[in-house]
Amino acid sequence: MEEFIARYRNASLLIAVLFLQFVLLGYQVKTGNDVRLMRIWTAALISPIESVLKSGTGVVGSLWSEYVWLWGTREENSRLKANNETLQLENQQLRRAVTRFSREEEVLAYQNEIPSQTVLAQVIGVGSNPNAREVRVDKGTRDGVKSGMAVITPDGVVGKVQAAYGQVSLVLLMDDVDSGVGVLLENSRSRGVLKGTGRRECRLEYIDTEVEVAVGEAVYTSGEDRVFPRGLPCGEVTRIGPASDYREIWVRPFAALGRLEEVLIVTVGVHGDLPHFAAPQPPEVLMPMPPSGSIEPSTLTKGFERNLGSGADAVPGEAGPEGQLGGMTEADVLFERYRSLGVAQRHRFGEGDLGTPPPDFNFGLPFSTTPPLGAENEPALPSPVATEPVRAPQPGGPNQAEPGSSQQSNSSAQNNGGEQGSNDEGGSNGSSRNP
Amino acid sequence: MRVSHIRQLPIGSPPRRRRPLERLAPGWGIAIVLLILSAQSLLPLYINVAALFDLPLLITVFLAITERNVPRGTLIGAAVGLAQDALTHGPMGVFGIIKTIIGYLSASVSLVIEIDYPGARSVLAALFYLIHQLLYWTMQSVLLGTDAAFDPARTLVMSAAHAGLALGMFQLIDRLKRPR
Repeated sequence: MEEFIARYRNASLLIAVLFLQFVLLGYQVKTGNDVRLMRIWTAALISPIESVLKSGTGVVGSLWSEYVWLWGTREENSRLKANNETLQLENQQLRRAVTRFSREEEVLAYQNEIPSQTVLAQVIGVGSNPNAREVRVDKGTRDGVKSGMAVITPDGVVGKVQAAYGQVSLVLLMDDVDSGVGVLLENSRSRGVLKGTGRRECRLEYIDTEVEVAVGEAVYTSGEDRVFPRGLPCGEVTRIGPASDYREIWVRPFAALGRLEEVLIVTVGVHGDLPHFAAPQPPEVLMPMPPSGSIEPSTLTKGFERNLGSGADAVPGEAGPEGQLGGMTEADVLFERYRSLGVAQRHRFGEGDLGTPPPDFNFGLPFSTTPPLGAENEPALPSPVATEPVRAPQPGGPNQAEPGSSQQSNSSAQNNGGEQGSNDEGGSNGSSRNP
Repeated sequence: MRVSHIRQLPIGSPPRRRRPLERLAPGWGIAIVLLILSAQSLLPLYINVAALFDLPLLITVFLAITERNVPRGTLIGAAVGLAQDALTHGPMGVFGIIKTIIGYLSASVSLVIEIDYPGARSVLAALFYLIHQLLYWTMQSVLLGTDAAFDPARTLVMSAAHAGLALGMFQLIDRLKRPR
């Protein structure tokens, strides 16, 4: 055995070492356990060297890369500078493109929004006249553009096509001195003409002095000039000068006329809706109805009827719960009063001969000079309910005060005759004014 | 013992005693093994291609050839392989077994042919890389039952790459050799 081992020592050692490792491997595979101790020892041996190498690599690497390995730095620097300039130029171009795309997107959205048919055009230059406010756009007659068409942006009116050529058009801006746009004010809807001044602000002319104009009020196209469809925003009032025949109003255009890039040319104009009143006009104030206690016409009519014994047909309308004449206007009351006066004096309006004296319109009043007809013979007729003078609501409530006073008045009129009625009337109308 | 080895040399080969034998100091050997193991785990952090090289294999071959002692070569291979196993997530013994065989073969070959020439050692390194990969694939697929892929073309290319790396690396470590 020893001789065999001595003879095959190398092979025996190999087999022994392999056997041990196979046993180790089989043990791990079968049991799933790990030979942790060997790993820990190996890691303990290797990790310090790794740390040293790592730090040394860092130092050497930085020295190498920052001080030694610089042979191509100059060329690389030049190349990077050129690359940087190219990228900066490209970046600017891309930024401009993005800005243009976003602007065009906004214009296209507006183009789809408005009812008019429009053509999108790019501003490619300005007019050759330094004193004129005009630009050239890249759309012409080939695109359906004609002279006189309106030019707008999403911000507002720009101007109108002054001349259209094959592929380009000349647009006269609204702030040019030769430009004029029919506009109206947002609040008052007063119409005027917005004329250019050659400066930043335009002048709104032909607005009456009675029209109330506020700074900041918007101005829209009125559509009356047959160039710009109605409802396009033009600008806003910036200042209001002293008024002479017309108001002097200055308007700043909404559209940035000094830096136009994309515009819409209105090929087929369709009137749009005007915006609602941003600031409503002051309401038309009607004079208030006279207080219930001072309704003289019915009172007078009642007095006439009681004094003159006129019929019930001279009765004005009933007093409403709030002291108003139910269904009758003051004119109706006056008409009834004059008719009652005519009946009382047996006067027919419109039927007398020429020279016939008019009735005494103070008839029946204390200062009247005409005695009542048949006052001595005929008792005063009771006035109908509707002739009861309208009184102001009492503090105790209208439902309590009104019926009582009405009954009392009626009963007194029946029992005491016309004079008593006059006294009642006078007492009830103590605060009333004489006509 | 050495006489018997000499006796095994083929006829016509240059006698070994014509050249002074050199060997690496044990301390240097251990240090180089630790350094190589550290470099194996550190270099891929900076050089991605370094992960494709098996530096412990090359140092096993180098030490086994240098020692010209089969038992030492076998033990060196076992030690280096187990240390490599310890630094991986796989079971202990895979690289140990493979490199034990590599160490044994390297030491055995060094006794038969003259391997002090750089070209010969480089060719041996390439050859042992092929054997190493073949053994590794066999162990993975047969013993451990894993789906280890074996790409012959890639293995051949890497074998040549290992030969080139061994050419420079062995000459570098040769500077640490001292005469016996």
